[in-house]
Amino acid sequence: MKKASILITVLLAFQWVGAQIDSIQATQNDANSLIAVLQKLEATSGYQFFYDENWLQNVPAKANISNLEVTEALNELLKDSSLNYYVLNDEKRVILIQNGIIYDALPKGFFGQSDSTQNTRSTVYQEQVADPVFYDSKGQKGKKKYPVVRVGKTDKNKQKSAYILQGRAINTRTKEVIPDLAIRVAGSNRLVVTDENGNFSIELPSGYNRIKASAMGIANTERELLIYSDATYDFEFEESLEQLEEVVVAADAVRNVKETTTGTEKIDLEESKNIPLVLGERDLLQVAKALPGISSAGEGASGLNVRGGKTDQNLVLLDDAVIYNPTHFFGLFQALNPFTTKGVEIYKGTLPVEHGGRLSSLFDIRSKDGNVEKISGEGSIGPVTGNLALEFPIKKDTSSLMIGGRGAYANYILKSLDDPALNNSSASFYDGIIKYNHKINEKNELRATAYYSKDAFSITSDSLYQYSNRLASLRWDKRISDKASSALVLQNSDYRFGIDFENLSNASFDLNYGISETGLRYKLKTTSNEKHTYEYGASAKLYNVNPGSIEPLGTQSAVIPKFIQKERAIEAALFIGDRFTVSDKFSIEGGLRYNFFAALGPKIERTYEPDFPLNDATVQSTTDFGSGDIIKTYGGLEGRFSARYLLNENSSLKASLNNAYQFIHTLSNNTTVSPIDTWKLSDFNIKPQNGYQASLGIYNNFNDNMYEFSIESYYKLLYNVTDFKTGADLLLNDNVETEIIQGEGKAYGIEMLLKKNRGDLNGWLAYTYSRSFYKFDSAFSEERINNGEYFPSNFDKPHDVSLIANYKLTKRFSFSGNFVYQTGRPVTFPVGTFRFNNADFVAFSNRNEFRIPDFFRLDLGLNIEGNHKKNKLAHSFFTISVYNVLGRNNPYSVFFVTEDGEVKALQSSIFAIPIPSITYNFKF
Amino acid sequence: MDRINKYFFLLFVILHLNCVEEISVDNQFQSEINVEDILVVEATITNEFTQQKILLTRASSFVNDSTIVYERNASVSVVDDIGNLFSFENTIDGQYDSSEAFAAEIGRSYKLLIATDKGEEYESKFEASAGESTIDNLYAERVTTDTQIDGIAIFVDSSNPSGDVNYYRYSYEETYKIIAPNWTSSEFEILQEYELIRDENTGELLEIIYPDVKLVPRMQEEQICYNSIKSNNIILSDGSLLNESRIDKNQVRFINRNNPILSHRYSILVKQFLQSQDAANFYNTLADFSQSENLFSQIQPGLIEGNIKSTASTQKIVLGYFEVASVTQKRLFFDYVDFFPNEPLPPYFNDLNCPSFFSPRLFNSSLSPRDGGYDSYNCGVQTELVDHLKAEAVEFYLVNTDPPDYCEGPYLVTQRACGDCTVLGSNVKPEFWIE
Repeated sequence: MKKASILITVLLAFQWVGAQIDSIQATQNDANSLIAVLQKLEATSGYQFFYDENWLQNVPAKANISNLEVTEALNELLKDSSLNYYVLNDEKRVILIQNGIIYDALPKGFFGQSDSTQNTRSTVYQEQVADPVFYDSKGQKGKKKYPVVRVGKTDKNKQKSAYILQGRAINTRTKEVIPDLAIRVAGSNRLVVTDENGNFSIELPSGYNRIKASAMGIANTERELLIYSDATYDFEFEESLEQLEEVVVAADAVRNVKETTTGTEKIDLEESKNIPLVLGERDLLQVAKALPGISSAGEGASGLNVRGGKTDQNLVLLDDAVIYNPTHFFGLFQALNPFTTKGVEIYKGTLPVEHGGRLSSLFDIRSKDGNVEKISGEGSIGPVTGNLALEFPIKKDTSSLMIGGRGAYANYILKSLDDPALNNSSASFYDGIIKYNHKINEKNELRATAYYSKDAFSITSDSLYQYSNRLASLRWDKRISDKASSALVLQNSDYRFGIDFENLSNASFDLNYGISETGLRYKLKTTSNEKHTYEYGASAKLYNVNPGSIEPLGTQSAVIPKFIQKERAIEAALFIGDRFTVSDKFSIEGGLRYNFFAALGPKIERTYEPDFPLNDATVQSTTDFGSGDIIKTYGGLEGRFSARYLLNENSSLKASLNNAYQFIHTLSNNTTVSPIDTWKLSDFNIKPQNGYQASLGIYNNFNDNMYEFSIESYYKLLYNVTDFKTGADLLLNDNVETEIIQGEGKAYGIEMLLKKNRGDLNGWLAYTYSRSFYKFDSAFSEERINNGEYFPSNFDKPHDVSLIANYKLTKRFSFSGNFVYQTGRPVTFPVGTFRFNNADFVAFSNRNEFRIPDFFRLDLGLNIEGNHKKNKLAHSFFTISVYNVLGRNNPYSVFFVTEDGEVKALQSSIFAIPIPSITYNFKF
Repeated sequence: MDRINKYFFLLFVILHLNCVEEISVDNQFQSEINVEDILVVEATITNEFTQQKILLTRASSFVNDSTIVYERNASVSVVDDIGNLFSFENTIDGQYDSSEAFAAEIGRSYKLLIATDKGEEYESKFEASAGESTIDNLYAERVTTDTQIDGIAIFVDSSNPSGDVNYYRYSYEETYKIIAPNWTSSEFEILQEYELIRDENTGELLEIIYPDVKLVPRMQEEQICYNSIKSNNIILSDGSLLNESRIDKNQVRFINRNNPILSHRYSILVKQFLQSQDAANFYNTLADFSQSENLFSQIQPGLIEGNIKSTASTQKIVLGYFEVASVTQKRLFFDYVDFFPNEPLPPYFNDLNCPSFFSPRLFNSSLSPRDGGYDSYNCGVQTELVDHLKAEAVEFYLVNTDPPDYCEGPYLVTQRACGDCTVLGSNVKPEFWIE
């Protein structure tokens, strides 16, 4: 029936073209066969009909065609048949065709043009779509029928059984490219997913093909296509009606099954907008924690731990530039404007070969491309922050500027509270982003992003803490040919923090830390034949680190300016990867990446006596390196391999193996990330970290991709991870290597995820069992932790359950809920007291010998959409949420203080009571 | 850099959304570390020519933390780098005094050796004095803290003319004068206690002896006393970032203006130890671990590695530090009126309400209810004056001049600490005390 309705649709289009035919009266309808009716029609209309009588043998003529025009009469008569007709007005002839159609023009795609220049014909049948008469209501809803597309041109010398079709997927309405669109060849397991620029490349058997395309927000579409040679064709796709409603939790329909790599997650910020979070702030990073394998040390702890890795092992990119601290306010809020952020792709296993330098994960955060059609904006007003994003087309359909701003107004709250302890406190943060995107032509596209975020807070009147991120990136995407594309990225990032301490003594100071990096990356992607897609290129970055400086503040201060020696280094990589489609079912991705790191002068480096602990007493010599001198180089080859085997159309088995190097480390003597943690480059005495990870997973989608289910397991080994001697002083330390110890880690786990992507009730349930252990052993007791035995990490939380659910009650009201259960994290507890210096102190257990009680929390939210009047100025909705509905007093830490010589045990929790909030969002 | 670690306490603390509560610690934590095995060594050898003291104790579990376990009968000695040996003897509890007085000399280095009677052996690294520091100034100022508390801060300006080491540790002993506000020159003497005389055979009540008291002049000084308290916290200052070997205005003590120790005359003796960097690190870590107020990111605690180690192959845990430090001290006196002229005194000790008096009866009724007697005036049963006196709870204040109420006794009394300062201190004026 599908075919029939396509034909009828096409037919109608033709009919409309020839609609000026004269009005003809069909007077007879009493004959009992179609042939008879047609003959009469022929006689009365003056049109000559051409057909094969065999076609009409068993077709009854039931329709009453009295007083109808010829075309109307034919429509009625042929409605239930497999016949089409074509009217030649000049010759007054009507030709009937069975199944097939007659084109009076070449299909537009014939010469490789895009659908974007489609003529009125297609516009017409879009209008006609509304006519229910021509739809088979069963299974056809929401689907449109398109004409068969013919692409390529047969070349007798190059005939093959299969050809490569390349092109782009484009949203009909917005003209924006559609990334992550799954394109499947009907009747086979062959699948491709469009890349971030909407490009795809697929191998098709010669001749007729049916292609099914699906992506969130895009109507499931089926297209017929005749391919005669390797060709390029851009498809246009309609948005699905669903997008007008809440598309709450979604994922690319078959991406999880089809991708070759393991351990990837994707969060679309729009999808996550209903998830209730603390104080109504939308937060990608918090949503990420609800996915298996991603956690943090605790509520309100900054820094993410991915699959048992340390917090410094994540590469967080915003539009290709590194963002060193993507959070505000100790990690409670993300430092990203929710309205300018498109989403994040998270790689927990094998990183794309073009990225490297971190052991655990890649968070590839992308900002939205500005609207190239009209000015639009989005904003929200919440209890803590206000957000605004505006998009301005610079040149219609070509370029656009997006500006986002966000600020916290917590200070007003602080000042208004009637508590003297608080009037001296202040806390504020803001961030802003500007993005420009320009489509130079069909082949070249340019994107530029600039971003800045800043936090400032003070607890006492004499100190002010602040930190900031600044980054900029420029990306040029180019389609070199049908088979090759390139990307050139230039990026610069800068992270710094400072402490101003000012009081009446002679010790007022201004302390600063900063790290900046500038990098260039060039990547080429070529498809050599139907089996291989290569990606290769090179990248390099230059680091400049100010590891700490202190200067006197005010005229009274006797603080001597001190500048810890600056660090400089180059990190470069050459990489090549191949996506190899071995068969319809089996595909492999292999990549090699050679990393090179060189620490550069000027710097004075100490050499310590071998086989002795590093301290002032074991210095053997010092070497003075001149500017640009190479102090020390490290290098290493990384291999990244993954394989996928499709068990059937909806399930697959995947495995991956990779290793990685990391040349940069955070220095922290806290149990969780703090804003005064510093980043340190590998140098003469501090070796790069490296790690290995193997993973295996099974993926299954069922119920027409409504459900996604996956189980992934991993095993990971880490070497030369950093930790510190107990009570180490890391800031402003000239010889910080004397405080650092390097050891090894291992982590393993199994991650289960069940997602429901559609329906009034949607969301996901994730369960992770994982362990992570570290070991710091040495011949010297001060360089050992727990006697050199493995101990659980601060974030070793074996059981982790997350449930995220959204329920749409009506078009205007939807509920959402978020439940988290986690094993309590390991902590170091005091096991007794001792008397020293006339006071009691506590003696601590081995590192992480105990655990705080288990953590659980339930958050609920309600979304109220504004009315759906069409011509409203702005679309708006309210989000009401209650964080920690159960009021569970989840312990964050247990600590001990000595007060008046007595030891007291204190338990702290961040949010011990339910916290309601209301946020107003608007969009225009 | 201690300050840098104290950036805690933020918005949500402030919004009271968080919660910090005291919890009880019991023996629920079964650690692999047997806490009673940890030897605690407190050893600072100074440049004072004196009998040097070393204190050895054992750590105790939370269950037994009220009693200090002393390490007795250990063999303790200090050797210097030219082979001189100074032996120590266990004098009292865990205290070991050097057999002969000696002073740590500048330029010499010293090492501590300990052998416990269980046969465990420990030794320290060689340590040397970092030089001799001076207290340039010791002074008090009336200040208001960040949290709007009015009080007296005591500051020290420290310097090290002998070199560039600029780490100081302080300890103090404060002494304050106590004047009992309700003191009088008289006190009670108990004449007789309540007694019933009965016939030995029949048990018949023969006579009731009613309790009685008389006023006598006080036997000893009980109006003005002095009390001394030693510091019980770690006070450090880190001048390593300064361009001179001095650091000014180090606060060693803050006293809330409502603290009664300020009431009359106050004195503080501040001892200043010039520390090596390692010793300063040790004390700093110890202090950090005991004041982790940080809500959001807690310092990773653990075993603090000092300079003393077990020499045996089976590593025994030892906590402590053998320090060779120069010590210098200075004393400061001030009066309440110097800083708070014409202001009311702080409330009296222990929140006692001294201006309130009462008048216990000598006995409860003519026929005591203890004997089934009848309380004709409905006064109820009160503690009688003699019982108060026997409990050392009251002091004489005044004769109840108005005709006593039926339910009152003949004397006005005050709570003991309001009339007798020896409850709160010593009536012996310290030798150093200057009015």
